[in-house]
Amino acid sequence: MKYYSKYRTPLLSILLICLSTLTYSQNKKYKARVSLEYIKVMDQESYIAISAKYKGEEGFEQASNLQFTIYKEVLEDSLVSLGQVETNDDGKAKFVLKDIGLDNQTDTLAIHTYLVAIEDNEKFRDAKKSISFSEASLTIGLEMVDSTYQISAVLTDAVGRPVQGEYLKVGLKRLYGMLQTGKDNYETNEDGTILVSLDERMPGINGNLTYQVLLKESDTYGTIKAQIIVPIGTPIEDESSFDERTMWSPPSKTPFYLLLFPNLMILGVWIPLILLTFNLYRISKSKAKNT
Amino acid sequence: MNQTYDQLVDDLSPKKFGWKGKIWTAFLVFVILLGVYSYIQQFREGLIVTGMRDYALWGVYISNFVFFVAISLVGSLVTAILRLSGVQWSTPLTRIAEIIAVAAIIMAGLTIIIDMGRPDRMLNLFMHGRLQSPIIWDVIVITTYLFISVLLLYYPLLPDFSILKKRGQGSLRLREWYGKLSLNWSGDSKQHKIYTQSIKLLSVMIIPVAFAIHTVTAWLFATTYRPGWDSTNFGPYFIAGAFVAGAGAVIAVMYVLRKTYQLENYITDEHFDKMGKMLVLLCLVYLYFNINEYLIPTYKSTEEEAVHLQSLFTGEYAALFWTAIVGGLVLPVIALLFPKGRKPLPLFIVAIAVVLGAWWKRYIIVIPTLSHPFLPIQGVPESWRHYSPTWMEWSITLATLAGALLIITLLVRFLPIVPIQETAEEKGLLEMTKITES
Repeated sequence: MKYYSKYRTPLLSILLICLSTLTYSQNKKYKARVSLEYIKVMDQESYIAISAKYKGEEGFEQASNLQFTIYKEVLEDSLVSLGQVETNDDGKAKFVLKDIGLDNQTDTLAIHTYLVAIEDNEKFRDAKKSISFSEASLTIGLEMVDSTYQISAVLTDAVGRPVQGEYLKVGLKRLYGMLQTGKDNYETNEDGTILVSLDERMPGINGNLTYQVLLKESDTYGTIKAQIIVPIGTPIEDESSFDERTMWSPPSKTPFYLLLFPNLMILGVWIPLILLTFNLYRISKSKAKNT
Repeated sequence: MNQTYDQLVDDLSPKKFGWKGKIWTAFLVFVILLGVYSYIQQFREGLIVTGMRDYALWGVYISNFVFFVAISLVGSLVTAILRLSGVQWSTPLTRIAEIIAVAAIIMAGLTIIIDMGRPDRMLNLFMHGRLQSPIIWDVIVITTYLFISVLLLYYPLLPDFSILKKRGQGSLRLREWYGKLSLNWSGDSKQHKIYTQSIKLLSVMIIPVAFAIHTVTAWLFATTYRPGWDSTNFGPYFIAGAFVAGAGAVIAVMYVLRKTYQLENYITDEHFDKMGKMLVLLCLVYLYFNINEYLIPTYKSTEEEAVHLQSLFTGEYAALFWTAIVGGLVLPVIALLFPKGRKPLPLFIVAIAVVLGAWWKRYIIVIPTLSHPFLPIQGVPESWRHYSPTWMEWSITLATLAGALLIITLLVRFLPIVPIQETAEEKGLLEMTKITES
């Protein structure tokens, strides 16, 4: 009893420390770092691009399979749930805004606010992040001025009024990204317009070129992208040997001579070998006849 | 009954292992088991357990594979070429050569599978193989050579199996097996005709296939545009080297077997002398190819070749290179030019040096080239720049070598080392036996 009372306090302390450590390790959740971007591709779709990462044991890691709930803020503080989305292996997710919800909003400069939330996740702490933007449109066209093609783009707000003073990028769509055309940026004028001369004829498949105009991460409008396909390029001649029988083609397109000679050699060797194997049978049967 | 014929059959019949044979076999099995353990690790973890990385993507496995292919060429050398050219003295050596060839080519095929990162996808090689690729040519030619080698080993055994069935020293069960394997051989004129024609055809066929197997193996390298491999001469260079390695292997094995089974009456000093002379000739031919293969690139010294050659002559691989060239080629030639050097024991030592030199020569052909690509190696971990085999690679490689020796050991246990029928015929004992029996 004496010993019990002597060791009781330290033992209880150790037990409590162990339990609290265990509980802490069980409850330890990561803090996700979320970034949001509103992207509108003209005539196609509008969506919120979500990207999430966290500081794991080996530095920053992508937060894969992380579920987000998306809310739209309406009538000041009210939130309407729009749905859920989960990040892929790269920690990215895309939530398509099917209806941007301009109803009940007469103010053309109305700011749309969306809230992206992590809720009740086993691995990550609850978190919220919001994004706000105003509706805008970007139109792109091709003009010819003094025998020179020009790309024109017009940025307008939700009711069609030109937006002045925003910076647009112009480029040619290529397989792995956008090839810049002209300067880094072009500022829209009072008509919300930019004009970019196309001095060079660029190569394109069948002469078709896809020009893109991009409003990149604007504080007010987010990212807006518009593109136009125009037949003003130099046609690329397809020099691919994909359909030919070459040394580097798959088995179905082996050159004929390589089908012919090796197979002739294989047959030339293996037919006598089969006969020689058969000769073993003849030898064994030869004795049987004799006996 | 003719006593001399009985004596010959007794002498040449397979014999049970003595204690030395049992220890030797147990040792080989132990080495193989170590290799199997390592291979299981490699199979589970992948090739990351090896020293191979992005640059040295062929390592000790492939150099070992080339060595086995080289050794297997001996089957065609001793068996076919000497048989077709009517050389009588080679009879006691043919079986040894055939056994070595079969063992080596089996292990060559196995080594390729070992080198695969995903051996479970091996069937893809056949299902999706492209005839444009030398690797597929190699697969085809190795399979063909293995088949011919087995046939060339088996055919001359038919009369011997028949003799062993009737007069062998083994158990009843073993003699029953010999009987089955003899395929009812009686030696009548019809059987003899088929037998003779078949062996002749096999001897003719194995020569081009043997040349093809080593040429194609050389093309695996030569069709790759790299310093040290970019040569139109690689096929003949490899064949010359293979003859040297193979002849060395035959001499080494025939010495051990002669000593172990007291075959001095059948494998005589004269055989060693003649094999020694043959080895000198083969070494000189190979030396010529070596000079050709290194002198011209040295003379031209294009930037990449110069870096590669420098690493061989004075750099990282110099010790190995000069040991293989001098110890495995030049010194053997000098030693074998003297009659005393062609006596059994000195020749055995020289043959071992030649075989070891041949093994390291393949290592030197494969590895340094991969360490010197045309594009500079930049921005990679230091360990990628240099290749050195891990202990797992060594244990697996040693296991394949032990595997080849185990196949030879087991075949020697159950097959007559020296052809009984042919030797009896050459000594005229067969006729005497027939007369005595009648």
